[in-house]
Amino acid sequence: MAEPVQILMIDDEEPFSFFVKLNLETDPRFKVTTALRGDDGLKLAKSIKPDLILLDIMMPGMFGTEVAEKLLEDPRTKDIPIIFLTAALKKDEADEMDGRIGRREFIAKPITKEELVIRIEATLELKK
Amino acid sequence: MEETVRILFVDDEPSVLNIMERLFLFEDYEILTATSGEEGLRKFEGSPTIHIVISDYRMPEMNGVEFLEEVYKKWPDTVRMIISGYADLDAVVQAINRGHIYKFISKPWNNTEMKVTIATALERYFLRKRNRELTESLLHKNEELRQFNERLEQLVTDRTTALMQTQEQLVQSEKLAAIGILAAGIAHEIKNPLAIITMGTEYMKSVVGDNAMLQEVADRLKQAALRADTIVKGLLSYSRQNPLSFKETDITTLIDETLTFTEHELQRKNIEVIRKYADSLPRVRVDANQIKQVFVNLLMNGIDAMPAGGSFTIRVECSENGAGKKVVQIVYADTGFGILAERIGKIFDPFFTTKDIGNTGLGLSVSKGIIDKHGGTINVESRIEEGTSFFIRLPVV
Repeated sequence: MAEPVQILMIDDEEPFSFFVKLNLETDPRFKVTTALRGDDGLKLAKSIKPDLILLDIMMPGMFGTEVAEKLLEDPRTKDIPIIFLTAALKKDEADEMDGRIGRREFIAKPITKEELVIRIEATLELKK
Repeated sequence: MEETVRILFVDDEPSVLNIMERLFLFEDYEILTATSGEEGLRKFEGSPTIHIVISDYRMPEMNGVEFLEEVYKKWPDTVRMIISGYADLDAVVQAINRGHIYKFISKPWNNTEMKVTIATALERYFLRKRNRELTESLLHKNEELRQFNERLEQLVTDRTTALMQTQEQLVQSEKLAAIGILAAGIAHEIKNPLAIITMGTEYMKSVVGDNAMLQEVADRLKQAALRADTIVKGLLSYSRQNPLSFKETDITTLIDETLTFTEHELQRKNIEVIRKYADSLPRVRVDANQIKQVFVNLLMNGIDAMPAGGSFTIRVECSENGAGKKVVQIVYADTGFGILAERIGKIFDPFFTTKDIGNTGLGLSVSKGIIDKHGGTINVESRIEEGTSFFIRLPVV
């Protein structure tokens, strides 16, 4: 069997990350690492070089958007696809953000497992 | 005086009439004479206004009082006087008392006195005339004033009603805006826990295997979370400040599009759709997406009101609004169970719902907000067991 897809999840909602990890890892194709803060997430991104990052936008300390900017600045992480997760984003805000941090995937919380898997697969397909 | 003053003397003695004519020879009066009451009446008929009539009492056939009473009936404005000896005083006094004779001149008369009496009588005639004119004009002015007052009152009522409606709309839109702000503020705090519940139950489902009971528990938890999310989304629609993009549109195209979305649901519920579109309808300027949202809301409400099937009549016609402006009127009439009278005033309020849980109670208030933004109106009429009709009026381009 091929190596599982490494997913880094950066979200301050610990129970949410916990359940996303549990859900995704019921599928042997996925391996999930979680970080509760933006700066911790950045460090992990550099060390484990994930295939995909699930990034919450509204977090204390560093916002998801800032984390994304820093990931783009670093050659080691700039090509990692990002899917933003957010509980508050509306369509117009997403469009505005597109201009600032480049076109990215957005997922509005709450989301079902099925949808999440479809979005991850679609993003990875795109990458290949 | 510009008006020629006419005085009629009636006496069966031509000599008396002669004396009278001579008496007023140098006055500016037109003197008429008659030798009997009958002739006197004929003079009245054949002459312009006679201002004063002076009649002898004792005359064959018609006496002076009888003659003057006839005059009173037909020419009440003429000042009537009678000349009589004391022998006939009683009859004369009675006539005076009845108000039919102005003055009694006793025989024999003094010429100066006669002249003064006539001058006074004339003064009385013109005063009365002026008085009557003034009264009439006053009555007329009064009526004008009354009508003006009535118009003013109507105007005040109309304006007050309009003001109250505007205020109501303002309060409503402020309420909605406040809800939107609140919703945007709490959405994040609510959606995160909902996301946790959703993911948690999904995991449960994947690990409990074929334990049907636990599968069901997980399903119900997940449904509840998604339902709460629907409500939050509904609330957020109030905070959307997206500017409307108006385009000239044929309204029936939008109606047909929304019927296509809901076709499956309508068929499943055994609901017949009857379209009655008037020919050559004027175009309207609308934000197509928002207006379609309104139509879908009305269709969904109607579908919910007809669980055992029924019919939906959609009429589109040209009409006029209260201010006489041309509008397109769209009517959605269902044959559902209707809305209770005590509830009908609330159906456009946010969070008001008569449906089962899971309904936000926002559909109609959002719809009303959209129609308001188009400068239109939405109203409802309903009869229990007969159905409900929604009337939307949109201004014509």
